[in-house]
Parts: sequence; C-alpha cells; structure tokens
Amino acid sequence: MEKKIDRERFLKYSGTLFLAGAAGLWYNMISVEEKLSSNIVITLPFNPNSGVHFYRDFIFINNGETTEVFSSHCTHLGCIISEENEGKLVCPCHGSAFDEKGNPLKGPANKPLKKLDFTIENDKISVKL
Amino acid sequence: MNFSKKIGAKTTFGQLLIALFVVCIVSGIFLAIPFNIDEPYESISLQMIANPAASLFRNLHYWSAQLFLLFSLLHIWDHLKNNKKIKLKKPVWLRMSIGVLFIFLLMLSGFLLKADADSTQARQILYSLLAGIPVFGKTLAYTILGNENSWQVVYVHHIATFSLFIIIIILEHYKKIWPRWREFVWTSLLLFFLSYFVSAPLHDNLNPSVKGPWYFLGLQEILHWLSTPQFSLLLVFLFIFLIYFSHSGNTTRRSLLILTVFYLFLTIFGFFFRGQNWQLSLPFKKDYFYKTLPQIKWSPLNFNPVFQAEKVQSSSTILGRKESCVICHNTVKGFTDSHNPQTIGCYCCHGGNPFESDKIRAHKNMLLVPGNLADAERSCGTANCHPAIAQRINTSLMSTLSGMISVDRFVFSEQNNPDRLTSVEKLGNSAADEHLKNLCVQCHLGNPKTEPEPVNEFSRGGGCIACHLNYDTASNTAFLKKKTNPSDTSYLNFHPAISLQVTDEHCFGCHSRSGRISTNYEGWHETSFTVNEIPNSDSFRIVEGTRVFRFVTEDVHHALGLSCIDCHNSYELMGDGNYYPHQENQVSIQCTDCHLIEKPNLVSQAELDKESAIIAALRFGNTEKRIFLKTKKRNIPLVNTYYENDSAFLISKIEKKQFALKKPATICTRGNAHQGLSCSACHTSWAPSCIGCHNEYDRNEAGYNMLTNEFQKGTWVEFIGEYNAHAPALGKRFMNSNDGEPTTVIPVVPGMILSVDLRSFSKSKHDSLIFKRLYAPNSPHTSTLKGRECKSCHNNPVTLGYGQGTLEFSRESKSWYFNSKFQNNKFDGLPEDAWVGFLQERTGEVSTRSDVRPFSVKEQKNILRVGACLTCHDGYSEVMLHGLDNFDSILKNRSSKCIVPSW
Repeated sequence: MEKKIDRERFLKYSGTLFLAGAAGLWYNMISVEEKLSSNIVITLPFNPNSGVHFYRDFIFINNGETTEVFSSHCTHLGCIISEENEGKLVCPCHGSAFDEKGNPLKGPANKPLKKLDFTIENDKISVKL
Repeated sequence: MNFSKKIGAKTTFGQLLIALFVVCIVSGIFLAIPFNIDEPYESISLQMIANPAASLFRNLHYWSAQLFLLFSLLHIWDHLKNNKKIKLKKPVWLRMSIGVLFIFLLMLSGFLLKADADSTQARQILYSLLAGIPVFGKTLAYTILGNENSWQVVYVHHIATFSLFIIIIILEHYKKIWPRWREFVWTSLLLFFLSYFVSAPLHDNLNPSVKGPWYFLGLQEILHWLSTPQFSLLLVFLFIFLIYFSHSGNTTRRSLLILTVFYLFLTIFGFFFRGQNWQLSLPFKKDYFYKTLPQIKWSPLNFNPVFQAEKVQSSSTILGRKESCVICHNTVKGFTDSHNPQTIGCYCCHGGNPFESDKIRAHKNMLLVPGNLADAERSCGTANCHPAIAQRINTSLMSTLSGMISVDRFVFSEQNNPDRLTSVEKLGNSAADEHLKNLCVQCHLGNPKTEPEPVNEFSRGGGCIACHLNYDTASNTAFLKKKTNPSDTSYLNFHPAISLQVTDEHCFGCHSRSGRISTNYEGWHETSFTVNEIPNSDSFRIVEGTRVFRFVTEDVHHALGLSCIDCHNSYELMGDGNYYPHQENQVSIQCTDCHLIEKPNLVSQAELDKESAIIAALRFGNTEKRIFLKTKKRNIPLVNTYYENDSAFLISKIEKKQFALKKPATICTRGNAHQGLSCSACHTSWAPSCIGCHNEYDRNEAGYNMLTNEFQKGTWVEFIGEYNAHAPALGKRFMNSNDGEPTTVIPVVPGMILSVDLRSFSKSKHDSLIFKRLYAPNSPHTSTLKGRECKSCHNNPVTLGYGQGTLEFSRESKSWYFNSKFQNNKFDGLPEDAWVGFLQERTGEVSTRSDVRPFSVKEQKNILRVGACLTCHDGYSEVMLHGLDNFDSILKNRSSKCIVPSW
C-alpha cells in the first residue's frame, strides 16, 4: 500500500516537474519569438517639414529645430494614436492626450509617450521600434 | 424552478446553448473558407459585398456567438438560483467557472479577427493588459496574440484552443454535445432570420469611434478610470472567484449579482453614452449615432448583387478593404490625383454604405454634397484625411462671422465693444441678431450646400467645397444637361475636381458684398441704378441679376493676373486655430512681405511646416531647393514665392505666371514724414462707400432667415442712401492689440452712418431711433502702381474725414475753410458723410473698431499745414521732397512769400 502511494507521489512530482520544464520551454520559446519580432528598424524617406507626421507604429514630430520620434502606442493601453487635435495627440480609445513633447496632458495615461531611437542619413530616417 | 420552464418554454438554457454552439461551430467551419488570414479585413469586406452566402454564414456565426454568451450567463444564473440541483465536483465547477473567461476569450478573439480599426485597437488593449501582468505577462500576451503583424495565433486560438476548452466544459458537465432537434431547428430559424436582416458589424476604418465589442464596454469604462489598467484584471478574477464560490452561500451569490448588475450598467453606459475618444456622448448631440453606436447593417442580405464577385475582387483595395461604390462608379473622371476614388474610394467623402451591393441601400444616408461644416468631420475631416483643418476651419472668421456680428450688435447698441469674439452659432433673437439673420449671415461658411452646382455669383457657404470644388468643362456640361433633362445620367461620369485651384469666382459670391473686395479688385463699383436704367455700355455689369456695377479701376494685381489666393494663404483663409475679431486681425499678409523694404523674412523648403510643404508640392512639384518668403506677421510661408540672388519672385498659383517682386519706390520710405502710413493709404485708387442708410423692421414684409434658410413673415429692411466711389478717407489705428504693430494711418470708409428704428422691432416705449456715425477700416483692394498725389490727402476734405465739399486755404486770412456738400445731420450736426467736424476732435463711438479713430485736431493741422504749402508747390518739387526729410527745417527757412496757416 505504501509503495503504491509512493508511486503516485512520484508520478505527481514527476508530472509537476515535467509541467515546470514545459513552462520553462514555453518561456524560452516565447522569448526567442519576441526577440525575432522586435528590434525592427523602419526606414523611410525623411520629411524635414515641421509638423506632426503619423505612421503605424510611431509619430514623428518636427518643430523646425528639433526632431523627435515617439511610439504611437498610448502609454495607457497601447492603442495607436493617429490624430492631433488642437495641438494635442489624442488616443482614440480612452481619450488620453499628450503634448508634442510626448508628455501626458490628460489621463488616464500618466506616462509620457516612449521616445524611439532614430537616425537621419542621406534624406532617410531609420526608426528603431 | 428553472427560469425557462417558469416562462413556459419547454426547454432549458442549457439545451439552447448546445444548439447555439453547434450552429456557431458549423457556421465557423464554413466561414473559414472565404476568410483570408493574411487579409482578414479585406476578405470580410469582399464577402459582405459580393458573397451573400458567406455573409450569411458570418452573420450566423456572429449572432449564434452573441446569443451563446448571453444565454451562458443566464444559464449560470439559472443554476445558481437552483443550487441544490448542482451536483458537480469542485474541480469541474472550477473549470466551468474558468470556462466563462474562455467564452469571453473565444468571443473576443472572433472580434479581433475582423482586423478592422476597432479590432486593431482592441488587440492593442488586450496585449497591454496581459503584458502588464507581473513576471509572465509578456509571455502570456505573446502566447495569446502572437506577432503583432499576423493574425495567425489569434486565429488558431479562436478555432482551436478556446473552442476546445468550451467543448470540454460542455462535455464534462453535460456529457452531450449534440442538441435536440427541437432546439436546433428553432434556434437555427431564429438565427437565420436575424442573420438575414442584421449583418455582423464591420468598422469602416474611418469612423472615429473605436470602442470594442459590446460585452467589453463595461471593462472599457473601468479601464478609462484607471491609470494602471492591470488592476481591472482583479475584477475578472473576482468574477471567476464569485462564480466558483457562488454555490456555497447567499453572500457570494448576492455579491455576484451586484457586480453583474454594476457591470451591466457600465456596459449600457459605454454602449449608449461613450463616443469618439471615449468622450461622453449624448443622444441630442451632433453625429450621436455616427460616433456612438456600432456600425451594424440593418438591411436584408442581397442575393442578387448587381456585380460579379470577380469584379469586386479585382477592384481597388481602399483603406485595406473593398468598397462597393467604386465597383459601379468606376468610370467617373475629373478627379485630381490626391482625390482619386481608386485610392481613397467614394465612401470617405460621401458616406453611404461601402459594404452594400444593393444600389438603394448602398446610397442610404449618403452625403450628396460632402464637405459642409456640419458633416466635415465625417467627410473631408476624417482622421485619415484633413482632421486638423476640419477643426480649425471653425475658428476662421468665414465660419464665425465674429466681426460682422459684433459690429452689428455694437451699432444696435447691444454691446459696447465691436471687437468682442462671438460666433454665428450664438445668434439669438435680439434686434441686431434678427437683423443679421435677415440681411447678413447667409455667407457664413457653415451655411450648407444642399445641391451639387458649380460655383456662381449666388454661391454661399458649403464648407470645404465652397472653395475647393471645381467644375471643368466636361463636368459643367454634364451638370447643365442634367439640369435641363433630369433623366440624363451622363453627369455620373464627370465629377468636379476637389483641388487647390481656388479661383476668384469661389470668393466672389460672399466677398462681392459689404466691403465688396471681390468686385473692387476687378474694378467694379456698385451703383444705385436698376437693371433697366443701365446705359448700353461695357462699363456696366449686372451681378446676381439685379445689382448694377460700373467699371472704375481694377487693382493692379488683378490686371497682372493675380488671384485672391496669390496673397491669401491657407492659414488666414482656413483659420490658424485662433479666434480673431476682424478680418485685418486674421489676415497675415502685408504688402511689404513681397514688396520688401528691409531684410526679407525667409524660410527654406526643408523648414516649411507640413501643410505648406504639401501645398507647395501639389502646386509646384519639386521645390526642394527653394527659399520662400514668409509673412512678418506670424511667419507664414508664402509658398508661391521664392528668393534667389537677392531678388524675390512670385509665381501665380492659378496661371503659374512668374513675376519679379519690386521693392517700393524711394519716395515711400524717404524720411520719416510718412512713417506709420500703410501702403494702402497711398496706393488705394478708390473705395466704395455708402452713406445715409436707414433700418427698420417691417412686420408684414416677406422675410428670410439666413441661418435656417427659411422664409418668414417680418424682416428688417434697409433703405440705402448714396453709393460713392472715391479715394478713401484716412484714419488712425492707434493700438494694435494683437500684433503690437506701431500706430498706422489706414484707409477708412463711412461704413455705418445710419439710423436704426429699434421701436419698429421691439414695439417698446423704452427703445428709440438710434443714430450712429461710424467709419470702418477698409482694405479696398484697388491698388494702383502710383501712389496718391500729395494733394489727394493733404488738401482733400474726404481724406481728412470731413466728407465731400470744398476745402480751401485763404492766404489772406492764413486759414483753411471747408464747405460741406451735404447738409448737417439732424442727429449730431455733422455733415451727412463726415467722420469728424472740420478741425474738431471726435472720440468715443467713432469707428467699427475700438482701435480706430479720425485724425486729432493736432494731426489735422499737421496735414493741412503741408496742404497749405501744396497750394503753391508741386508735390514732387524739390522743396516738398526735402520736406519729407525735415519739414520743420523747411518751414524755418521758408521765404516771406510762403504763408502757412495760423490756427
């Protein structure tokens, strides 16, 4: 009888270990996949004209003197911002608003828009997402 | 007792759920065939337009899923109410509780697979919510949603993971997966009926409202409150927790009920009262239905589409989808490249239904004439097109008419300041407002254009297309054919162009009135002749069928072929986002921006703002190397100019003629005698004026309300005095509140010398006949190459504000004398056309602006002192030219023969 319980216990432990290993594998696999789908660099012709230029994943803001690139994803829940309303970048999902420096002006978002690294070379801009 | 049995149904929610689930699974299998995982949105739009059977399967899939969710919740509640009958083991009950979450996930993944704007944002929200869970959040989010650029993982979870989990739950607690025939048949019948008449929603990717599926609107409302939205997941766990423990006691069940009712309330609130950007949206507000409710097609499926599926497939893909409009209207010509329907479709301007194949239903609710300000946000101003302009156009004076309204109220003594900001939307029922509605406000840009028609003298309003609609010969011919023969359909092949070619004709309708800038510019002065009185001569012209104009002198810029838009740029015409009280405040262009008197204000192509850069590119192609002039006031680029080798040039926007921009003549800037004189003070050849106008209200006269465009009984009536065309008077703008410019001498005209019988309107004893003597600053647009002669100002009673008459200098008495042409007015004792009495001071209510006044006595004397010299000396004589440098020195050294006035 005792032996039977031990076997069950052994199998439970083994199963748990197996599941833990599978979870490790799962985590490992997703990490690799995430890396593969991140670090994307988008290169586009550089538009030097001042104004706010919206792209799918980033917002390019040129005020004539400085150029900044922000992620177009709202810092509240990631919705894509694609509209400027009276000088504010407004999120279509919950109405968060940011100024042209990416700072939050109106909630629910309370963090500034993520600044993205970019380079301008030969009239082309490369943005690292 | 079971709820369903209580209401007399011989079934249970469980039985219905099985039937709904089977219909959902089967319709889903069929739906997988036309559904394209690489282009999900496009494939669904194609189904909706050209594959009614596929649409039916999609609708069946959608409605069975919605009812499945609804009945699942009712089923759970039904069981909770009868908890004694529940004999499930705890692990099974736990899995069932979690199963509720999986039902939501199954539903949500289906919603995401539409891949429209609504789904794309919902996916972002779900990803962020999950990724924000500590430790394993990102892994979980990626596992459920996969790569952002692919729908593959979502699809697999939808058809396999989540569906299998539900199947297991059903089997585990019910042991069966096949429904009974009775439930299956009735459910299917109901679903077919529903699916035939009501289509599953698909976002058009233009509507600004993106809210997510109805069952998540409660969560959306909660998310809107939270800066750290992951806390909302606690609510999800609380639900599962309460469901799991609900069979163990009344307290948990009550808590679950309260929470459910609360969530239901939030869902209803989110559904009906949240719109664009999750802003509060109320049913009586403009565009409520468009911006708040989901885009569901309430019309039967069309099994007899007028076009083949192949035709739809080969048609252009617009905003990621197919659009039925361009399948039929595929031969329309006349568009500019930027508004080619093969790129932007028809729907984004005209509305209607882009996923409908039936002609009548596709055209339902369409905007025959898009671009009116009332619906600009869902035509020209959609987020993908010109949203910023659609917003700021409302700040333009052409939209607000602020100056016109404020001045009128000032004249009617309803406000003490003619510069107060207001808007045509705020017009009430006062005497002045009624006067404005009867006689003035027809020109506001928001006045809707309701019928397609080329621009003509009668055109008023129309929003964006008031300026940007251009009929070419072909579209005009087709329009006329349609007008004479309503059954002629050739007009469907010719669309007027939407373009930047804003001709003077576009401005003419409104600007040939009041200050009459358009007619002045072309050289035409309005007379009081009737049509029957005109002499047979080319010097006369009839406008709007009844108004008779006489040719005087056209503006030198007009003679050269320049149009209104060659000077006036997009920011001063469409507004720059700021409200201005009057035209001169909104306008930024000044003569010296082109006719340079000092160092030019320049901007390179690379430094242009986005709007100016686009306009420059559309008008002139590649302008990469150009250096443009920009206005000194507000630094607005003048995209039709360029600066090269120390010289400035202008290219006319319509005719593309090139001009070298000349600097002002030396005399314009010589010395400081004329410092502060505006260019138009000298270079205006004539300005229209009207004196002696009387206004009274006639209760029996047939009138018109220009705001509502309706006829009415009773109207204000204007009895005009005399029209004149001569060199304008000059006045002083003594402070420039907006721009900090120095005091300037500007042209003014007797804009408001009138009487208003307020009693005729109010019938009140307290009201009276009021009289006003106000001159208005004026920009006549009658520029001449050569400036006015010295005497035209210094020896001219009109210029000095005395009105017409004789102004003479007597050497004997060393005095000036003035005899008015008109009699003195009984109200104030001044000559009818005067602004100020001869060598008198006048302050207070003197102008239609608070910062404009007539010359003071000291200033009049200074002007007349020079005038006295001019009675002997020619204006261009050496001595007078020296006087420009230092007049006092000339006076000091004058000969004994020279007589100057003795005051």
